[in-house]
Amino acid sequence: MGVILLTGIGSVVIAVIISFLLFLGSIFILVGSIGLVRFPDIYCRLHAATKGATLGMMSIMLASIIFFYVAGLGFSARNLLVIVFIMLTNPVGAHMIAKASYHYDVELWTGSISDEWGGQ
Amino acid sequence: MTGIVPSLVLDICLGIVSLALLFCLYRIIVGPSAADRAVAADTMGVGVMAAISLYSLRLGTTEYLSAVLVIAILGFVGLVIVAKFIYGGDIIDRYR
Amino acid sequence: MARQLFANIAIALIWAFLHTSYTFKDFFIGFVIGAILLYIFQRRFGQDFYLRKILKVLKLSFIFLKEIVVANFQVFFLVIKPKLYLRPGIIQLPIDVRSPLKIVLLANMITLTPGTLTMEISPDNKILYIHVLDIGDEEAIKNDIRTKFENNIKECSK
Repeated sequence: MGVILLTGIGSVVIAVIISFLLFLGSIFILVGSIGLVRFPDIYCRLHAATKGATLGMMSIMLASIIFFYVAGLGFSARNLLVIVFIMLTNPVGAHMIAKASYHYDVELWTGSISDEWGGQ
Repeated sequence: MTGIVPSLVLDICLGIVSLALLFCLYRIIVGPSAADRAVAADTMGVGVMAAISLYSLRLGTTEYLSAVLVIAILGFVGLVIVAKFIYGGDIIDRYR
Repeated sequence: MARQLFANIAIALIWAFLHTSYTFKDFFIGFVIGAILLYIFQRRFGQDFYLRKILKVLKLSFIFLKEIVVANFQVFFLVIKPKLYLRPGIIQLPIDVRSPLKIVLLANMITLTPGTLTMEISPDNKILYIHVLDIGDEEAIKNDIRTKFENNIKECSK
């Protein structure tokens, strides 16, 4: 297990895959942040921030796993741990903030259509 | 070993992530409620994690991945603490 | 299921140690042989062959990952548009799964899928309140969640 595929066409393919994953991840994080700025309401901002940050980070970590495996530094299991942790905990954090905001009477955006909860 | 990914790609990605951090900073300053600021701070934490990973790809060492894990854990715990504070109850439940 | 997994790992380890080699390849061959043996002697354990359940769990994970990617593209197109096109609202969703672990799994999946965010669960664990980014067709969203997630989760741990 070392520098396996770094000959000829293999190295170009690996470089393209890693670069594509890195770009994808960075753009998702950027889109999540733009959504944080543009959306009118705390609940909509939660949508954009959570989904964007989670997938962007997963993408970058996947690229990092592939990079460190191909470069001969072994299979870095800490990256996998970060992926699993982020996938499990970001939705939970978003849900808690949404629930706390609703009980603190942060108003839904005035363009909202229906609010079947009605406050308890 | 460090020449697998061209450094231009890493530079561009670092620039994009820095732009994302600036947008989060705007939301921290202008944020009508505390929840907005908490969410923006957590997203900023994720942006910092991405920046650290990109820089460790450029240097070609796996030393800094422990920092990424620690920031993820602390970011999540901070978000939960702020949410419980807004909710108004005890931060540490005693009656479980 | 735990007994079957334990038996399979035991067979794999015995196979590897009988060949006096501690590499991953022999362990894997022993694992495959153990799986075949367990498949032949299914009736002795009284439950279904446990690899089917693992296949269902894998199928659920793949659906999950696909939904995450689709969700991000939806947020991407919503953010890029110059004019904000959002019609948000909160809807109710009656759920069928009962145990707390499955409810948590369902709530996490709903949060990570395009356009929905779990907000609250009613005190008797029967209704889930969901904040939706774009209420186009309420029934369609509910049916979507029901077919994609609830059925798979119920199948996974029957």
